[in-house]
Amino acid sequence: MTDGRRKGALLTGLVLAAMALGIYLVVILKFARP
Amino acid sequence: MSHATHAHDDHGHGHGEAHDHHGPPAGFTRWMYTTNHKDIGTMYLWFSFAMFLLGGTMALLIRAELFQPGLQIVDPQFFNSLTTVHGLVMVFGAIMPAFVGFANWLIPMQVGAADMAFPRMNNWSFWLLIPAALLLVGSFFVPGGAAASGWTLYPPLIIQQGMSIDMTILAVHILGASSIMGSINIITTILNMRAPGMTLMKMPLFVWTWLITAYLLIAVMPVLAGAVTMLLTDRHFGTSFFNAAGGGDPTMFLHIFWFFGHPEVYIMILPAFGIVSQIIPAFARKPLFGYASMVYATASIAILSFIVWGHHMFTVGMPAAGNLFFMYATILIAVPTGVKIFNWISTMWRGEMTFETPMLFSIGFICLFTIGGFSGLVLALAPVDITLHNTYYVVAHFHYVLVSGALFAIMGGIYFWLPKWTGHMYNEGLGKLHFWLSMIGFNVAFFPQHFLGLAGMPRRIPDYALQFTEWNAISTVGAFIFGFSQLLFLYIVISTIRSGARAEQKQWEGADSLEWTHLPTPAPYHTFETAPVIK
Repeated sequence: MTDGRRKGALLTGLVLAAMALGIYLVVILKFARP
Repeated sequence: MSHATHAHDDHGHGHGEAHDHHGPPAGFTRWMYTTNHKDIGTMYLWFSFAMFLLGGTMALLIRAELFQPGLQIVDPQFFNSLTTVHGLVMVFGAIMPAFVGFANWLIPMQVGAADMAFPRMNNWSFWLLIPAALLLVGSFFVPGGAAASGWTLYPPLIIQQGMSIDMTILAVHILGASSIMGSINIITTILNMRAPGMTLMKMPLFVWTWLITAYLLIAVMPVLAGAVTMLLTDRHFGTSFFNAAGGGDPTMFLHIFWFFGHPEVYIMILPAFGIVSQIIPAFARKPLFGYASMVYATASIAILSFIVWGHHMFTVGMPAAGNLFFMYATILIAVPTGVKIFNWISTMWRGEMTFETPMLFSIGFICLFTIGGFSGLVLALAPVDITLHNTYYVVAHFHYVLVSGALFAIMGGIYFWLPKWTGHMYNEGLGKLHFWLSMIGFNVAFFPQHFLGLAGMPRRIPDYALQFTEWNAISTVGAFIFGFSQLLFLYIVISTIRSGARAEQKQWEGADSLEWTHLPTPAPYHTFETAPVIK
């Protein structure tokens, strides 16, 4: 795998992981009202 | 002692020689530390089969209890635990890992990649399943018994039960993390590691369905995780998200759960569509009819799956406009699903058809999944669902979708790719026997449950009124036929691996994806170290 592809893969993976974490936090924070 | 010495020789730090040969190391450490997509795929598939037998044993206990009215074998609390853990084990332990096993084996080979994008994370995704499974199974042995709320984990019941619920919540978190890591791997592999010339619209349908499924997983597994985290804090940290006594709202859990739960249904069926879309053209000896429309239909089903969750809760007292919205949105899903069914039939139309075991399972899939789809349409009608909600009609419906849908596709897929994976051909006669036993056993088990549901028999009860006796007895006989015929499946797979006849490189003449056209049989341990060029 070339360096460019490796970086692309890493970026894709990080974006997807951030999406998952973001959705988790939105669900909890959205409903964490008094 | 000699074993230890041997292991040291194989796995000590003599890296040079081991790496020169690029073969798998031997022994347990091969599986423990492997980063090879095929090894990990194999582990997923065996794990899934073990969970399938475990969940199946629970199903047979349920059916044995329901063979006749009255309480015979298990006490009611244990019965409720059985229905709950059966559901959780089958959904999260059997069906989903089986498809991830297929994804691991096939996606790198079908897109022309050397391996998955993140091989170490791939290993971690698999090994997380083991503690999760132990937690689920172990919850039977703690005071109060395993979770008994149904797999949907509804409060307030779930807030009141014992420590088994905490074990279940932890297991669900772990399974979610595993699924999300698996999905990240799959999407990244498909988007970043395709061979030159392998454009998105040249990818095999199986890869497409998994790409869309992986997005679904990343979108909804965190929602489930959020819901069960809130259950945990309600139980132990003084919050009242779902606890009415503290100002919370149990119905809100239903909304959040089913916002996850309905896409989850498609997570379990879209890869099945992909497998069937590979098998049918191979045995019809024609290209898949309407490839592009198949891709768009899969995407449409995935998008629609986010706006139909309310059809699981027509009876909670939503406004009529809400019920109508969810009803129409649900019925709309029949359109892209119908596109798929008609495309498969059109693929077969005037094809040079033969009926080997994978094709039989695929045709069985189309027939029975369509029945499950139609009963889904019946349940989508809000006024009808109010009568049928929580009856055996619902049980019949989702088993037609998930057993004769997802599971039949998995079995067809195993027979289809087993020659490529193992280098050996399975016994065709025994494969066909397995199909017919499964087909007959399944229908005898689940078709009568439609009648029971229409007659008003509620689900998740260990006892029932006398008028339901005959169909329950018949259903139990069918369930045992279906259950025990899976031991034949196990025998076929093991005997194929050990002593099956030698398989050819292109065992199925109509198969045209890269693993058949570019790779020897069995597929080598490392594939496509140099990417193929696709024209």
